Amino acid sequence: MKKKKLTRIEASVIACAVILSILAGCIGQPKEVVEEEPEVTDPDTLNILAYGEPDQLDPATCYDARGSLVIHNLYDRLIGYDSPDTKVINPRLAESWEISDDGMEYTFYLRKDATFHDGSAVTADAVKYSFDRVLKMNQPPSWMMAQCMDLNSTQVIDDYTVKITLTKPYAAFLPILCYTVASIVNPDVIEANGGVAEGEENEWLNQNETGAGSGPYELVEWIPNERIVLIRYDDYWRGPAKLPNIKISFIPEIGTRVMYLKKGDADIATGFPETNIPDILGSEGVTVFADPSYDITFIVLGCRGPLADKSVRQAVCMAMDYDTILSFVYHGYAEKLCNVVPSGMFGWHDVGCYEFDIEGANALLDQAGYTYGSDYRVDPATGEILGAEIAVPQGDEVRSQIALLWQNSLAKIGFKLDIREITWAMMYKLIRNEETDMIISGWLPDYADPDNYTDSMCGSANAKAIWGSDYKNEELDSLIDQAKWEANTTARNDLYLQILLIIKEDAPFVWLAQTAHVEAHRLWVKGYFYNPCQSMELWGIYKE
Amino acid sequence: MELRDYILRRLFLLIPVLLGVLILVFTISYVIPVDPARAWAGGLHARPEQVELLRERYHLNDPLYMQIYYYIDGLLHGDLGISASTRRPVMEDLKAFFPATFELAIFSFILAIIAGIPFGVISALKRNKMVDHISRAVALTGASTPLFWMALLLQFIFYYKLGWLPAAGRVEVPLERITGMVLIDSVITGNSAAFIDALRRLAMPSFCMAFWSMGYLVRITRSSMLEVLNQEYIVTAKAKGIPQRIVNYRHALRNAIIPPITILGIRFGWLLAGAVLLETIFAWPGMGRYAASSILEVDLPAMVGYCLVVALVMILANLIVDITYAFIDPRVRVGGKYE
Repeated sequence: MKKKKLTRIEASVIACAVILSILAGCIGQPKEVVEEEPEVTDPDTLNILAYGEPDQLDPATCYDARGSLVIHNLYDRLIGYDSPDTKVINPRLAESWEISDDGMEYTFYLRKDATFHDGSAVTADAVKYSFDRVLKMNQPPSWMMAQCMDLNSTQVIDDYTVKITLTKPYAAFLPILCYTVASIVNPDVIEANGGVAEGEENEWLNQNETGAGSGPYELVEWIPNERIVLIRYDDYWRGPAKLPNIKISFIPEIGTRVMYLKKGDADIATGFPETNIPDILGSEGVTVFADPSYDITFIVLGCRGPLADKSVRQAVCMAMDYDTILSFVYHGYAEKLCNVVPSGMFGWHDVGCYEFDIEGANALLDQAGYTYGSDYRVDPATGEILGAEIAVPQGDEVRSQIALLWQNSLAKIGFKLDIREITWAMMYKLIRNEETDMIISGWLPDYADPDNYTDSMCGSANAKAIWGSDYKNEELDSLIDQAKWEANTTARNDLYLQILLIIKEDAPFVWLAQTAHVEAHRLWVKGYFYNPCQSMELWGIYKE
Repeated sequence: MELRDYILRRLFLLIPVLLGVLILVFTISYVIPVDPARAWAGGLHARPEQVELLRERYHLNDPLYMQIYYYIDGLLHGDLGISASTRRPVMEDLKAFFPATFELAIFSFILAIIAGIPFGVISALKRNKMVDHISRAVALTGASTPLFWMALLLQFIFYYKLGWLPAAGRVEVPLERITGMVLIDSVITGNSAAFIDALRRLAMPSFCMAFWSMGYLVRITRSSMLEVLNQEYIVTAKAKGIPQRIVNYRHALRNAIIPPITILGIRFGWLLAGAVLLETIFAWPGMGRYAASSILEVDLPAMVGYCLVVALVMILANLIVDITYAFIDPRVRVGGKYE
């Protein structure tokens, strides 16, 4: 008996000792690491950890950032951005261009030394073929071009001159040409591999590139769920890219990505969550890029029930503690958003922000006749408690925290906020079906133009169709339409000032944050720049 | 009933089971409040005309029974549809991802058997001795440790701290894919560098999976052995003077092995369905990750394809277990007859 008990105790002690020694080994290890100046690993290859895998690589079909990263570097466009500034558009395949006074005709003069990956020249015919192909295929991103172009728009003047006559003078035409949908493809390669079918995808180009592009890199292999490998195109017209190879690995787990970066087995991690920044801050040889993006976060107000009243909307905007949210929810990786157009973009004007002002919000509601019942105010129109429901996506910590903070401060103005956690898909369905009053959402740019924001969010048709909001201001609709087709830049800029002033006054959304684009890099990565409307330009990146 | 007839009957049962799975998955996907066409067309940025085009293309405007009809029609022609999230035929995706999971499952399965059954037997034979306590503690740790935690811990120690093993992926060395199983492909092509790389990358995920399965296996084998060791025929065998080794391994183990085999069959089915967390942490391009991403992207063709494969695998795994019974236990005759 004695022996038996002793054995159990011994076994327990040994088991504990084994576990503790493992843990102690893990915890103790970092102290033993000798800190040395890190040397560049794998100097000929840029190892990128992508947050997601593309679904396809055809520029006419791709409509997400994961695919754009690859397409942007396999294909070239007529124009592009050479710096973080979206107001400065630089030549690419087009050496220069002219715009007619009425903003209807764009003439592009192509450079003569650009070649596709099969060695054939990039000509005006290829430009026409590429643009017509997008319009014929009619895939998700094609609307950008289709809103101001048709099959008669692109005219070949000579081998290296192409004229595009717009159907309407859309001032955002040049920013659209910077998007991957406007990439120039090799007609011979496409025709040899499925050609162009109206309304259909090209399955070959979805997965392959061989000779179809003229960008700084060629596609070597794409192993689904594993990696995409690119190799330098040595005859690229800007000169060969600095690094011979690019390897984009799909490592979904953030902990694994952090380890890869810290070990130096990866150079860049894209789409790095803000909450994981502390995991790498201070690590030797690793840095965090947090550049201002055009990604915005906001609360959609359904503009019905009590929220149909402008005073209530203004008051709830004033009951948001913006500074706390920016500091403690976004950890400083965002700046305050004051209106629908993000700062840094053409059309942005300083029209002032709603500030956190409980007294002012209370005064506004008092003035509008919302008197207190017990804990909350009462809506004089219905006799019911003044309040609304907000739908928040399940598992989204940032948005849940915003809703909770807002609920707390809204209570101080007698407004009852009910929070409903729901799946992403259900959230939009609920507000479109008018089954909830508000949602927290966000918007990323398709191209660098205020129209992509003002019309998509505050134009009454889209406010209803996309956001499920009843907001409608006919004057604003008319101004948005005017600004969309105004060819004169100064006049257009003035129109956006008027638009922003109306939006501020009407308060159909609570503008929250303009978030930063966060990436983690090894310090040896050089030549990188971030442009909010362009994927990462790999051509100039090197390791040193 | 002949073994062949039994197998044929079980295989024939596949048809109603797969049909049931098909109807179930379609019905669930039909009632969930998500608009897949909108998700595929760019989410919030989707234009209504694009959404409508996609609805037409994927027959989403048709009634449920017509959608099932279109699917079965395609299935009979070997077409599982095009995945909305990868833009590739689902059949092609499954062919790419299944071998990865199969390779991982087989490897960890073998590891689990090699370690689990002997540990269980020794544990039973040395009941309440030190070796029993240790093996039970190890088994308990294996069965109760969260898989993701074990995976992260292994990565941290063997990749980050010691640098002995790669953290993730299947094979980095260029390799011609023939069967899709990189170890076999590297042997076929005589690519020793790829073989070593693949083996190193397989080590951590397969250990995690094996450790997890082994925990259950040790416990089941131990309790089954203990039960058999108390049977009268074992006592008789001992009384007859049969050597202890033969009593233990020929008389006891052979009878005690049936429950562990049942567990193994079910486990193998699970392993083949893919472990989402494990495949995510080790960036293993298998079925689990494919299923998870297809669910997140509301990719109906991929979801249905995955479910069909899993159903098929589970049925086949159970069939193999039943057949194995017949070989191990002469009293068992498949088809329910005892002699």
